[in-house]
Amino acid sequence: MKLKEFEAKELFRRVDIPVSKGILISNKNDIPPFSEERLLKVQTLAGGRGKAGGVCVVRDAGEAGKLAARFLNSQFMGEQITEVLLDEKVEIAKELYLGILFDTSKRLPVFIYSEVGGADIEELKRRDPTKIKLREIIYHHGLVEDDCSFLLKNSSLSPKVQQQVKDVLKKLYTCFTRFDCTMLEINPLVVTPAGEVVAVDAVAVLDDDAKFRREVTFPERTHNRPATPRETAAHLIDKDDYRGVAGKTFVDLEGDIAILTSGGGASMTLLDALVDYGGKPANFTEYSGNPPLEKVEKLTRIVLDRKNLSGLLVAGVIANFTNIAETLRGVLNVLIAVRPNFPIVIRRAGPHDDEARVMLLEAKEKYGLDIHYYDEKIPLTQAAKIMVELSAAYRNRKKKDVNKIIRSKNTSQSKNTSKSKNTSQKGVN
Amino acid sequence: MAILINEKTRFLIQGITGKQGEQACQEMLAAGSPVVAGVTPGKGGMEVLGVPVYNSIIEAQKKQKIDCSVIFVPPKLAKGAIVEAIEAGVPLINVITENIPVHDMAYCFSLAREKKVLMIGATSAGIYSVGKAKCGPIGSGKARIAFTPGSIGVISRSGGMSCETSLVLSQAGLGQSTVVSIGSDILMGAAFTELVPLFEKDTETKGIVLFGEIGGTSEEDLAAYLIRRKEQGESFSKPIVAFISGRFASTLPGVSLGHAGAIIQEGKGTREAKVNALKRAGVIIAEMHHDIGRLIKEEIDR
Repeated sequence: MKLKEFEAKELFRRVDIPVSKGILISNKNDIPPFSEERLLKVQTLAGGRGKAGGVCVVRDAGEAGKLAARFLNSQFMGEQITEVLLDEKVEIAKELYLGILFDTSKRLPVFIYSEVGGADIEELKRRDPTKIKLREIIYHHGLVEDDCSFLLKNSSLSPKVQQQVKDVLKKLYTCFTRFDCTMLEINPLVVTPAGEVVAVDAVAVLDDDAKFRREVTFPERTHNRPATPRETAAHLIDKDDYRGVAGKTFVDLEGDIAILTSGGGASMTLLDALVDYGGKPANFTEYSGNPPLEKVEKLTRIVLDRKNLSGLLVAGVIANFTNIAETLRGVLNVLIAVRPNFPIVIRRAGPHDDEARVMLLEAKEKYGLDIHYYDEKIPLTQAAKIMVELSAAYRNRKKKDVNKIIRSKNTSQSKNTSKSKNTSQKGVN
Repeated sequence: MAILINEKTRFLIQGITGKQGEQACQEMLAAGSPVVAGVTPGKGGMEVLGVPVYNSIIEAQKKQKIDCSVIFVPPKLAKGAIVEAIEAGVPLINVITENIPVHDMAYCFSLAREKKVLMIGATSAGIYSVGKAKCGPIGSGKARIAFTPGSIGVISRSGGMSCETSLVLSQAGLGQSTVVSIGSDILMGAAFTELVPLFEKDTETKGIVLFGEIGGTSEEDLAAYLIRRKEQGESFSKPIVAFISGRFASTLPGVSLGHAGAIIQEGKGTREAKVNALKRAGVIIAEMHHDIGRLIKEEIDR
């Protein structure tokens, strides 16, 4: 999970990295009077806010208030802004860059240090890679004296400032390990004319898998845009029930094919194929790890709570632990209650799939549901193809029905027909 | 032949008394793989499906040699279990556990490198040398349907898709030598670059199929390795076909689709970057997953 600047600075404060003094403002009326120049900084998750006009110099509370009013509770770089930081304007003699992240091919943390800070580090790397120093850290040894000496070799800074930078390097590494960060960045670390160092900006990404032991918590976020009601509802399913996962990831999309997948790799392969064959997903979501029937029911209800659907695709990899009959019973209960007339393609295999087949075929007969069940004999991608074809045929049938109704309406002006035309049209598009 | 594990490999299961550990133990035994010991601290003296349980690996090693440890220990305790296996000198460690903190894995990888231990995972579904040895839950109850013995090496970043990929190959009449589920975490153990040379040396393997995903750099790392080999005048000698998922996921920037590693950040690790790098390195790309069978067959028959 990525943090905002003020949250990352909270981590820095806890390990005694000197940071610029700022006041967090979430209401424009909370700005205190001041007389020296300050910076008003929009709190975003995305980088590059400075270039987009999200960092402004302000001279008094009136000016700050006006700007804050403009930013707060509105969109900036596609994000809903809920805070601005009224920050100290630190005097700059020199700007440094410090960063630490994992190198995925070497499987080690890498320290990045440059005495050309403030700039776009990737741009600098292209322009003058010699200005950037990289040092791999042997994790089980930790950050050692040699690492610091390597990074500060041939430094242009005075010995006194170098000592302070070294101190920040060590504290930043402590911050990285203590709070289970996957990435930390100070850009810039300012050297003031008085020879002090101050972190004026901060970036931190936290490892979600280490939440259980992190001593500080931050509000949850998954998207840059506010969650839709369906997304919020889906995310709540796992809240009070730790068995399996259902709806942890839920994304509302524009299409007309409802999706219930299982398994990360399979979900992506399946959606790639669906889109390639010309299908349009109405959502993306997953359940896995053998969730109980009730959780699958809840998720299915959310997935089907959408107008103008022309299909439901329930598909996943061959399960190792998930009870196929039990979880599909959850899907089926909702289908029986909702009774959709669009095609339903199910491709699931694993424990108890024979029971699932019998159950689904019975329900198909009894409730007139258009269920197409397949096990592992049909590849996942084939199931996506079948879904796209069936939903296209369904849409065409609907269109023909509407045309028929329109024609019959033209011949007879009965109110009854025109009413049924309206209801049918809802189902099209 | 096969890679990593064969009929002689002697397995130990850490976390054997848990539900998933026990199920995998049963499947491994059914596949004829010798699970010679289990470890769960505090439960030494017990037996699971006839396999003796010890309090520690050292204790188990006093009774027999261990070639590979399979780890099912829950995420909060996994680091301790992995470190125990590394320090006990187990040469191959397969971590099945999901959601282990990145810093814990970073510690284990740096220690494993020092002790020259090979790690597969975390978040691995296991390893299967078809007809010879099964390690972990890979394929589970459907293993006999999905896998057939043969000459294709499979490496997959997705656990579930390691089985589906083998199934698609089997349905195309192509059996597998060894199938390795390498996991897809931000930091992972042996990946494509470390495993393809093993398949190259394996006389039984004629071609290699990869299942890649967006995020991370393992596909780009492989491309760099293959190009390096070519420049040294020792071009990689076996055909490789890869399917890289995530075209759809690329339309959802910043949204994690189930796999921790499958997060697109700052344009790195995109499907496009991976596909282009692999193509330049001579790897055949399957645009549709079910095409991998036809494509690898064409390459082998060439």
